[in-house]
Amino acid sequence: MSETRARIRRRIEREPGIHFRALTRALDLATGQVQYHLGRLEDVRVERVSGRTHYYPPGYDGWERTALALLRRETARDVIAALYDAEETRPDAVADRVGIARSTLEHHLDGLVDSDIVAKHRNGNRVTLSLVRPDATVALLRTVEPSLAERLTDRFERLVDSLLEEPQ
Amino acid sequence: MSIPGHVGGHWGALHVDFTIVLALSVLATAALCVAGVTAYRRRGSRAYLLVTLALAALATQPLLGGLAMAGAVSPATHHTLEHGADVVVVLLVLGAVYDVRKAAQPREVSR
Repeated sequence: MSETRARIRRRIEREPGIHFRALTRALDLATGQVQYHLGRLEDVRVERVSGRTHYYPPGYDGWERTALALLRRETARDVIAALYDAEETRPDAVADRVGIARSTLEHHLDGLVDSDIVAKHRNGNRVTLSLVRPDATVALLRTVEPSLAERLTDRFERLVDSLLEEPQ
Repeated sequence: MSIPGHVGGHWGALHVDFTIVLALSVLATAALCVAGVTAYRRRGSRAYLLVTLALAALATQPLLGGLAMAGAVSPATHHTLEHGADVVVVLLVLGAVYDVRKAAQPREVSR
């Protein structure tokens, strides 16, 4: 295996769910070069989550791969931590606890509910949220850390949403 | 020539202090712009588009400053363009704020 390919492989193992651009940036390689080597790393798994391509070492199932991609978002992590502590709770309580606008919460819930990480329960007009697999989700939280750029974007969204939020 | 209130060093024709301020300004506004564009791509709302365009207008200011320093833009033109960019930033932010109410109206009607 070439040295470049081994470096790409090591990076993916260290950061499961790393996305394509972060991979090229972290290793300071050209797009085409990374594409070429990724095509030859046969056991590396690929997943498209919210329009971005993420790469994984072998050993994670489909649910874990999607979860790892979403858990790179700082706000999603805060929402999951709040749900883990509270078990089953109303969306307003989660938004208050995390300190985010309802629109920010709803944006993150779209992805988390679609990928079976968070369950929405409807009981008449009352909606509650809970984690589908609490312990497995929290275990995955430790596997990934959001990058500085990812944190900046998430905090920017929180700020804009809270500035533009209609009073409830 | 002595300029009242002028501080900072020169390196040949280069204003060192001004160059540092411009470089910091370019980096900071570019980082904000990238955050804005990424957030807009995720959210796709008009409010995010307006805020991101406002950040882009803000990012033109250090670039204009650089052009003025390099002599590509006259001081008078630079002054006008700079205040023009200020107006654009303010109008775009106002537009984003105004848009919140419009986006919220259908929900209010259905209540």
